[in-house]
Amino acid sequence: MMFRVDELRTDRPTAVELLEIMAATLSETVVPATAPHAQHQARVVANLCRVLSRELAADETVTVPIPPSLRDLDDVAADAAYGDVLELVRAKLAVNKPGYHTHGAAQERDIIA
Amino acid sequence: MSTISETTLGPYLSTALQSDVTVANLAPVTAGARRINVLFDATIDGTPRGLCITQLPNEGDAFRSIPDEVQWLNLAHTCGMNVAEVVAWSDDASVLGGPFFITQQIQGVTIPKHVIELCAATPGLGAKVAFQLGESLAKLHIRSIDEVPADVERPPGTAVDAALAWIDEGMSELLQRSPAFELVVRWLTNNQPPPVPVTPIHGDTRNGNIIVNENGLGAILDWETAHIGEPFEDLAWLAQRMWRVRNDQLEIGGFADRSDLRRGYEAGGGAWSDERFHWWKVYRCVWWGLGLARQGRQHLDGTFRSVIMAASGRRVAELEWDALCLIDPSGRPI
Repeated sequence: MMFRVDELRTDRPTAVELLEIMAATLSETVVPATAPHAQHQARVVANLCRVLSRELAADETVTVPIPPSLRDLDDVAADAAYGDVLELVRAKLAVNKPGYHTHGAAQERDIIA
Repeated sequence: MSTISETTLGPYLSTALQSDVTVANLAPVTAGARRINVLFDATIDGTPRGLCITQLPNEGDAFRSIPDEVQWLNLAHTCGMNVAEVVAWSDDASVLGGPFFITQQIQGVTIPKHVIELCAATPGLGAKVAFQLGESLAKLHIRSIDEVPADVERPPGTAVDAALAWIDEGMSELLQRSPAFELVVRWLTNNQPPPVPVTPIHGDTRNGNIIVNENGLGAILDWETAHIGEPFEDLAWLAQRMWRVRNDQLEIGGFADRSDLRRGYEAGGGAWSDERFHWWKVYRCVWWGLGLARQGRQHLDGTFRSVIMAASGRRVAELEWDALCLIDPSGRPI
């Protein structure tokens, strides 16, 4: 049997799998046993483990055309760039804060109306 | 050096209030990184009274000196705002280990999630709190800047000029480009509201800096960043999504609608403008996003190494998203 070398470079669990159990251990075991002043920090570390896990697992590379400086664009060019920039931010949120994008312009309009 | 305790607070208050004061039941409460807040029970000439001491253990870390903050609190109290009345204060670090002020104790909740839960469980409470916030802020905003502490900075131009200058500085410090903020700053520059006179403003009125109880708004807290600016900087800050704690269907702090805030603001003598509200809502979104980016940078450059500061850098995208949504070019303006 032949193996690709890069498949054998690390053993299981993978980085993603390790980060997931690190996050769970912090949240379920460490936080409840930690002094109040350090609990917030422990929660943040757990959340960062989840962020990294999603970042490593993301196999989609987002490629969007962004002009050099958006501040100087005319209205037509700025409106044209808007969708691409929104897509770029959506991709960051998929890693940093999944679900955050479900409240968008339409939803904000609705609550103000 | 003395520290905050029953045996130091009692004698201090006895002298300061020229009364017989005993102190008991000291209870430290959730505090910011630079401030200590301790609730306690005082008995003043036989009459019980709940008090709260706020102390700056490291004066150098403070945004504002204790005497300045006391002046702002006194101004707010004079205006008839919902604030805790100052009972005593001292900027002499030898008294209790750091400058401090002592206010009346106000019952209620301050943690944003608890504020939202209390309002959700009490019919009409959220609308009432928003109304009182609007009314309270209007009472401050209609005052003259001549009434604020003399050494508070008087911006040379308009509040919008100062805001855009701050944004330029923040953008120039970014460690990596933010195409989202570039687009939003472009919008802010092209959609500046007409100039209006500057007024005293609180600067950080939000769910998280207020005490709420079953009777309504107990107090607006934390006058550390009060400054001279534009009223809608205060009002629009209340509407940022991050204070809603995922209760996104209620624009004001996750507990009320904008119309409730507006009714209170107009009842307090303020003049409302949806156009100005919107501009400052967009501005404060970018302002906080750049603030989070700055925290991430301070971790990386060693100014303030902390996992909390590092994590802030990964929260910038939330503010980029919110700001972009607010300038959505399709459909009717938000």
